Amino acid sequence: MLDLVGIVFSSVMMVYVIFRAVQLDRTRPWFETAAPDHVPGQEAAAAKPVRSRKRRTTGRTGWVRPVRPRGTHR
Amino acid sequence: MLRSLFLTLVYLSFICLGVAAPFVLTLGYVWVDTFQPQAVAYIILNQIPVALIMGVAALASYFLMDRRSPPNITLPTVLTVTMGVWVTVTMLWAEVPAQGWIKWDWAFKTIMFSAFVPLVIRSRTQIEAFAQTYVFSLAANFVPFGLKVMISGGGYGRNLGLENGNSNLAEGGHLSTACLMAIPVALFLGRNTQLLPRSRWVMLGYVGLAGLALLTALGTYERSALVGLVALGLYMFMRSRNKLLFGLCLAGVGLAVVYVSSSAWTSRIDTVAHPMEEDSALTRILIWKWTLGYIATHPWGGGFMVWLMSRIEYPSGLVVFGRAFHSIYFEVLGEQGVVGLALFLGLACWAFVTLRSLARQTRDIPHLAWCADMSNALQSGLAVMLTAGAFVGIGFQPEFWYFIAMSVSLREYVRRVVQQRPAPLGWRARLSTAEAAPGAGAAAAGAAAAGAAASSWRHRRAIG
Repeated sequence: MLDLVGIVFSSVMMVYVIFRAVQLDRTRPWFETAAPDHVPGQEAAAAKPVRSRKRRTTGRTGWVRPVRPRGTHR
Repeated sequence: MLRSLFLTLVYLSFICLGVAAPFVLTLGYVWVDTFQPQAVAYIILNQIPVALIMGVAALASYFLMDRRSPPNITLPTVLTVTMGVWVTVTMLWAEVPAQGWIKWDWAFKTIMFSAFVPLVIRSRTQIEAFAQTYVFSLAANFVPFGLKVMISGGGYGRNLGLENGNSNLAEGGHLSTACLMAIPVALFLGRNTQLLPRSRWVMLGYVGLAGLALLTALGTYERSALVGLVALGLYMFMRSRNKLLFGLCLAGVGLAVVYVSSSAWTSRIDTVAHPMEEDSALTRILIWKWTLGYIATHPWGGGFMVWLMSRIEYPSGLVVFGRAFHSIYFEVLGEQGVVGLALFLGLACWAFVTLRSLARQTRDIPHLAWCADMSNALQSGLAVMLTAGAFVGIGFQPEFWYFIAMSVSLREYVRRVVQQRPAPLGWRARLSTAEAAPGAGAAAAGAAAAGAAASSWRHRRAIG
């Protein structure tokens, strides 16, 4: 009786584990690419000062250069 | 009958899922090798070569369908393959070739399969699935054994497990060592599993498994189990972060063992202190002496099963022939000579040094913290093998080789994750390298380009 408990427990857990392993193997990246020093939202935070610096160089007087239309215009 | 049909269905589920994901066939081989369903089935599985079918399917599926992201050829792989070649070469001068080739048949497969495992087991999911397979395959033996020990108390030479006879996991020394090696892995899985839902109940389940493994080891009444248990406790204590809490748990387990254990267990363990008065311990010492004498004249070993021609003489004058080595070190030394022992110890040393380094490297990185935990678990398991194994001849049984294979897979996983860190490109790369080491900017840019080129072919999909 106790032998059967061991066999059934072990086999059921094995089948569950391999089934979940196949599922996760297909959905998750094999090698986690997050850098150790990576912080979520870091890119957005880093982009802000660049944009403000650009604005500052062209807009010290508050004037913003109008966008030049593309096409055949010279 | 129903048991056999049930096991056949489990076997078929490995094959069917293996078609979708080839690494499952490798797990299937580990399951067959550890659990040995053919030994407990009455029909079908006991009539077909289950291990051969699974092994060939695992190899074929890898080479035809799954050659993505191959690992580097590393020192342990070279040592393992060299060991496989060497055990074959020593059979050329084997003293007992008829019996030797029988052992060579399974030992060679075990060694070469452990060299193959890191090719297939690459991602975190696969590494965890491998560890889960090892623990749950073994659980089929130690769950009933542990429950029976709770009821009856166990006993020396009493076979309470699934298998009959006195080989593989039916042998007390082998079973107790394998169970103790599984304890740190089970505890690691409880803390870090991805395959099972993480909850308090799952953690408790793994702790329960570890407890049954411990009961099984103690219930065999093997003295080597006590040696392994002490080594396991000390090593896990050394590697634990919260030493006070772990020390208290350890003391609690120790007190429970002393309080619950029977007088029969205590008297059996007491014989460790008087080896010359106890027949079994004295036999070990005499056979080890014989091995050293044999190796002095045969430094290249005598091939598998050379112990069959051993001759030992007791102080009483009694002469006995053909006693087994009862030690992994003397087993490897006697059978494979100094070269085999050097390869074996080289692998063990590599594993410890690398796993310690991995634990240091990854313990402070949040998404790699599980690697540090697994490194510590593998070290603890190997510590059991190398201490308890000093008194049991299981050098070519799969446990040691699976732990080496898991260590290689883990190391290669960390290497690839670290290599994949997004490196700065363009002027940022030049700026950062110039700040770090002036004049090294061009070299770093070249290395980054080479890395990108390497990753492009390394990560392409294999044909099929």
